[in-house]
Amino acid sequence: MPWLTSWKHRCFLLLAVLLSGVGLAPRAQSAPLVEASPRVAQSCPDGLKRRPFARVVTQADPLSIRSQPNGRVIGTVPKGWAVVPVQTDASKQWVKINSHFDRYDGGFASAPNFRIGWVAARYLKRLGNFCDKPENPMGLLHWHRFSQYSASLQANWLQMGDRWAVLRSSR
Amino acid sequence: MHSLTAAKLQRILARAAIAPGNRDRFLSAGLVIPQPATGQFPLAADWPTAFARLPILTQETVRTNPGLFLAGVEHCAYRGVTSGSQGNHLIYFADTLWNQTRLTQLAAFLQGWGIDDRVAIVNVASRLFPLRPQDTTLLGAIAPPLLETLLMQLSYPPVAIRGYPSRLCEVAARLLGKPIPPVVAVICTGESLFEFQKQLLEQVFAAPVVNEYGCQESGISGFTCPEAGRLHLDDTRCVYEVIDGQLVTTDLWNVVMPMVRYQCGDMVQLDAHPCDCGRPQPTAKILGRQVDGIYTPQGRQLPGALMLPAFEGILHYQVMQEDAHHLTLRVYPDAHDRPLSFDAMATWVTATFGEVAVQVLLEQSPDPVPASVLTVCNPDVWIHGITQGNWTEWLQSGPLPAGELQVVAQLLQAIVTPIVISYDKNSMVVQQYLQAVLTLPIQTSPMIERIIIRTLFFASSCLAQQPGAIAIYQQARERLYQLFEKTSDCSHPAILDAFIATLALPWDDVPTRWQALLQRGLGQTSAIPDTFTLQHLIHAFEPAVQRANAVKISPLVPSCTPVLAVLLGDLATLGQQVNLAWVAHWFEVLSGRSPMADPCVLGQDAFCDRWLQWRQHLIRQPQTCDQAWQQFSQMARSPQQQARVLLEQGYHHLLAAQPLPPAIWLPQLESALQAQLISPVSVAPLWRSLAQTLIEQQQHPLAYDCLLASVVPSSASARFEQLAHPENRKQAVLLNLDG
Ligand SMILES: [Zn+2]
Repeated sequence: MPWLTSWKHRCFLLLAVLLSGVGLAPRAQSAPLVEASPRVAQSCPDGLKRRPFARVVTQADPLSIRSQPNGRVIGTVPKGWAVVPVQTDASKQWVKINSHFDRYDGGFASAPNFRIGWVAARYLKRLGNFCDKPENPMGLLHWHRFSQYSASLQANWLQMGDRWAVLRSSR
Repeated sequence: MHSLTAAKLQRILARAAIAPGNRDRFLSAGLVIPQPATGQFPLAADWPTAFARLPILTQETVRTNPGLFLAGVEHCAYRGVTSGSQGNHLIYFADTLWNQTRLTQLAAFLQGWGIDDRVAIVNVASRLFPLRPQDTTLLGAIAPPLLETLLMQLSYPPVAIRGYPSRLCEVAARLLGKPIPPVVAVICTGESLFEFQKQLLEQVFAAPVVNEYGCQESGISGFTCPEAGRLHLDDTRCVYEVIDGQLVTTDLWNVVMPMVRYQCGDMVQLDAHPCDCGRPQPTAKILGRQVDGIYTPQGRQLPGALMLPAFEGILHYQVMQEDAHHLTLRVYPDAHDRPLSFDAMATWVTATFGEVAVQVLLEQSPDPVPASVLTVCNPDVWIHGITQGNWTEWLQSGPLPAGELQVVAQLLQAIVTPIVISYDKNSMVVQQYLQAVLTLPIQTSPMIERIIIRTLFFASSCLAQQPGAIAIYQQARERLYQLFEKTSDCSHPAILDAFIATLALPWDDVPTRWQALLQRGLGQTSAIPDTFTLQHLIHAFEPAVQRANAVKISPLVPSCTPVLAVLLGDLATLGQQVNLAWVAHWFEVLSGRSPMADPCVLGQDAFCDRWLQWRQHLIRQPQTCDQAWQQFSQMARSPQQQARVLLEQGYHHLLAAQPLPPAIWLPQLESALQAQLISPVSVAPLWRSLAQTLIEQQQHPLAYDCLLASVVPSSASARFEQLAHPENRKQAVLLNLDG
């Protein structure tokens, strides 16, 4: 603990101000109040096990399903669908997929050409492990974009007027 | 448990069982019994026993996927954000009744300190939004402009101050020794309040210091009592338990996101004996969060358990613990130029933290800030800037015009970028400039006279809730008539301002006001709106919609809300196509009646004309507007026009009480937004409706996303964020840097 007398006071003050400007301030500002990374801890309802899910992330077209890695096309799965990857080939380029029903018994209204088979790994995005098909594939995809809209609304009240004033025609 | 509480709890548990995030927990505890036939989960007969063994829900779990905890969106009227470090906050929703109950309880506690409806609470330099209509928030750097404004606000008693204790102490340190008008009370909230802070605040403001605790999303809050100074918990809004020192609550009111056996993270110590003051509520000490533990010779202790005393010659201080053996003290000495003794502090440090190496940082009192130098420009340049240019640029850096217009510019500045956030935009600063503008003589230059007139119309809109607004409007109109007699210029957008200003003023006189303007020939205007017009519209819509919400006669309420989002969205599509007929239409949207007999004035754009005709049909006869729809939708050529047609189709669905199928609407809206064909604001009513349907379809997380996106824009919250972002954060005065 430093002991200060009045004649030392000024020097110390200078030193202290320097220290606060250079040495400590950044540390203090970025001081992390570390919290454990959040997790959803939920058990699966009876009869269901956690399985990995992945989403089809092709640009536009549905993803081709093949009989074997790089084999003949036997079906397709639409963009945005969540599937269960069950096996990866040695090259890691091909993934065998299944539906969340663990079997194919025909009649997915939104994916009529779905078959169990192999797809190119680069068009799948891992979603994590879930008890059942993630209820809302769109929700996961859209989350960031949605919140971004609301954030921009809050920030730009005056800018709204500035921006709209230059709209000359809706054509 | 009281039978009334039990009934409320039963109701809220049944409601919470709808939320998928609660289901596993509820099932595992036997709180609900699955009914495979109906797919429902009714409460078990012995639910009180099951409730007691229900696993705890942590804030982290809710934060990870908040949508899973949404039970429904009906009556959703409140959006709250928990404080937390960047990215660690939780946005939660609640209903109208929950919010009313919260405010009623708050009023009861405030009453105990003599703070009734007549006392305005000024939130100072802290991220705290005004609680009640009469309250305000003063934000920004703790520097002369903020301090002077605070003193000015305090000079209109009765006033109470509220804020984070760390920020209030900074303010107090700067005000020490200055004459301060009387203050009813100083309310500290958001951080632990320490003894030295209490003493400094009591000394500077000569008022009692109140400690307020609140963890809003869990339904718990509390206030210290004036008699014994103990923190009383409000146990009427929730069932609370203390498990391993942690506060665990079940909110009894929130039906939108019911939090059941929820642990917000605060450790508390309940007092064993009732308080001497006689209030029945339990009292407790809030210790802080587990992660904030401080090393002491007795082991890790929470900040709330430690005593931080006041020291002679030191106004306030901060303790930063680098690890168990190193401390830094940041000390703010008072201004007296006398030797500073650290003896007492050294003794306290050793007793509290043991033998540790200490570094002391003495904070110099800040230099007096030189008065800011006004940059002045030619009035023509300023007028051109705010009519043809950009307000954001002007307000960030721009100069003020020389001469008479200076006070006009200052009035605009004070209205649109206040440092005092209030619900009604009125403040002493605004009034001061307004009085000066109202006494400006008629100008010989039509250009200068016009901008004075427009500013007065603008002010009458923004201050429409004030009794003086009509007088401002009348003066502006008189000056406009005189100018019009001189120039006969019908093409100037100033004429539009005269009509726009009627939107927010009391509505009974609107038809008469329009008639008066039209009789003068001002209805013939061919004016093209400029930046000023559009800013005026945006600022007039807000109070106009407040009026509409109060009287509830808008054809869009309650099916197509928020109405403000519809109006702002129209503006985002129209831009400079706004004309008198649209202003008349917006009045009709809000009030259900047209201000003029034949509002079908044709504009310059055929699509906008058809759109307006469709709209008029839509709000007058939503059931029979097929023909207008055909004519309108067939006009759409460009992608923007087609996107507008999509929006209108959505509004029509809402007015006809037809739900929007999410599978069809979400992808369409998403792609229109992504391509920036529509403004995000215009989609808010559709998001609200979609959220309701998505809940019915068990799509809770997506419903939550929709609620997030449907937030109503507000100039006050935009300004609040802008000011509070860089400054005014919480600052722990007892901080463990080691984590
Ligand atoms: Zn008491």
